[in-house]
Amino acid sequence: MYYCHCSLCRRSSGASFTTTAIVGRRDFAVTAGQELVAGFESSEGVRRHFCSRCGSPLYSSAERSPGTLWLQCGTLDEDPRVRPSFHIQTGSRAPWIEIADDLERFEGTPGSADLERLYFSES
Amino acid sequence: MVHGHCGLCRRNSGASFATSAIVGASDLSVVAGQELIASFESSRGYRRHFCSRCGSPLYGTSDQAPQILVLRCGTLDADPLVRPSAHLHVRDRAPWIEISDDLEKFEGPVGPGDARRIYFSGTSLLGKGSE
Repeated sequence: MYYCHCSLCRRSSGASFTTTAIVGRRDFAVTAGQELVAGFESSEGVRRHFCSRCGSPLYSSAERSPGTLWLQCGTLDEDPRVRPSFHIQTGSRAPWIEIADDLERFEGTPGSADLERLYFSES
Repeated sequence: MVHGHCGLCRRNSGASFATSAIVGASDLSVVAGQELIASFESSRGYRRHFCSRCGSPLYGTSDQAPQILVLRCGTLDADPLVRPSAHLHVRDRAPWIEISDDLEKFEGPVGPGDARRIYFSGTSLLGKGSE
């Protein structure tokens, strides 16, 4: 679970930054309303899926990582019992956002050496 | 400009909270893509408008106050030169959010006595009120 400050995430959410959790595709199921889920390709090979009725961003998928989904955590009804562990793309953060926590920060995208540690060993 | 932590704002943004600015309805114009803007009534008399192509939340409108729009600040390309003045609905905040700044906090909505002060004063970088 992490915060992303990139401009695509800000636009897609309308928010100051997004809060995203990485989940296995097999661990995620749409139990109702699948026919209402729309998607668009926000960058090459990456699709953002959203509710066509209300626009709410739901999750993203990437062709290069078909077993993974990136879940937009604001949509969750219940406490996921994980907590954000880092910020990415802080170089693109909204001008009104000051990051005051002590989570690890990346100006851009974490390198591959950091990714596994960050994504799968979080609080 | 305020941060809104209510459950509707979290769901609609997919984010931990929404950041919104009140603007005059006559001060915002859609210069392209009007035909792509869809909307839904998220609570009685309040419509949330979004891009039907990508889902991006754009602004909200209220039957009660047709002279204003509630603009989703994450959609802005340029620095609006205003800064957030308060957190609203903090009792509904996401369980992973700890508010550590010193902005004013409201457990629920801003009451009518505070609305003008919260929405329109003290946060502009323009050297005058942002009204």
